[in-house]
Amino acid sequence: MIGWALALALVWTGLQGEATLANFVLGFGLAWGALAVVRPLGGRRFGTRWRPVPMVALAALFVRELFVSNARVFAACLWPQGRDRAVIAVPLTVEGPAAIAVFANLVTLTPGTLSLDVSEDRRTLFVHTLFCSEAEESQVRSGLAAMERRVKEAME
Amino acid sequence: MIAGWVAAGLMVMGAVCVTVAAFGIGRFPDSLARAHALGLGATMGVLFAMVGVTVAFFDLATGAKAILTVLFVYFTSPVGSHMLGRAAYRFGLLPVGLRVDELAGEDRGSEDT
Repeated sequence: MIGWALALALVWTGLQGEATLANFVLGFGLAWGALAVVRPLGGRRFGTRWRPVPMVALAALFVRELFVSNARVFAACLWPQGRDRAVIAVPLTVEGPAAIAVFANLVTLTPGTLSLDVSEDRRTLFVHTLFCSEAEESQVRSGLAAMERRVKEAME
Repeated sequence: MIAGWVAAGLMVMGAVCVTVAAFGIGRFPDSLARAHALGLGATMGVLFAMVGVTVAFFDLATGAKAILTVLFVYFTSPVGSHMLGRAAYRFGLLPVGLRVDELAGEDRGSEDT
């Protein structure tokens, strides 16, 4: 916890634009307070394993998805159409809660897909998709599975 | 001079994204679809605006702040969207025009957290 608090205090000092000791101490106090609030939610340690090379691959895939899906949602906002929406079940091969959270957040962060819920046994993620016509359905599923695989490679 | 135009262009693109997202929020028929429009503003709007600001000022301090801003928004916005969508679905605000709903028959267990 002290490591995280120090890191956050550094970020705080950087954001203040003045590298003074008072700023750092204030940042450290705030970071400690915030972590004390958050910590019971995390349970054990924050970290899982982070593999750098698969992380880059995951980031690249995510950025690509981000632009492609944003272009589609952009068009859909201007001309809403269709009844192609669906809630689909995505099987999860990742096991850790951290990896599931990262995958669910990446799915939500990409417009066009929104993670709704995780099944009780943590083996299925339910995703609401904006563009899921019959023709596209298998493509949507394989796209989500591909991102899930990348998360697993990067974190487990 | 050119950098100024590039920065202005990027910031206008960000503003356009947020505006279009606002249109989307108004025009989509149900809360789940609206959450997607929300994502457009939060991801592309913030990204373009912050890249624009970085180009405009072009120094390390601004760049670092811009990157942190993007990171903070990208970490927090999906959590909000997810909780809103989940609450809407559980509350029974069922989405309009669903072709498939694989969550429908699912036993979601206890309503904890």
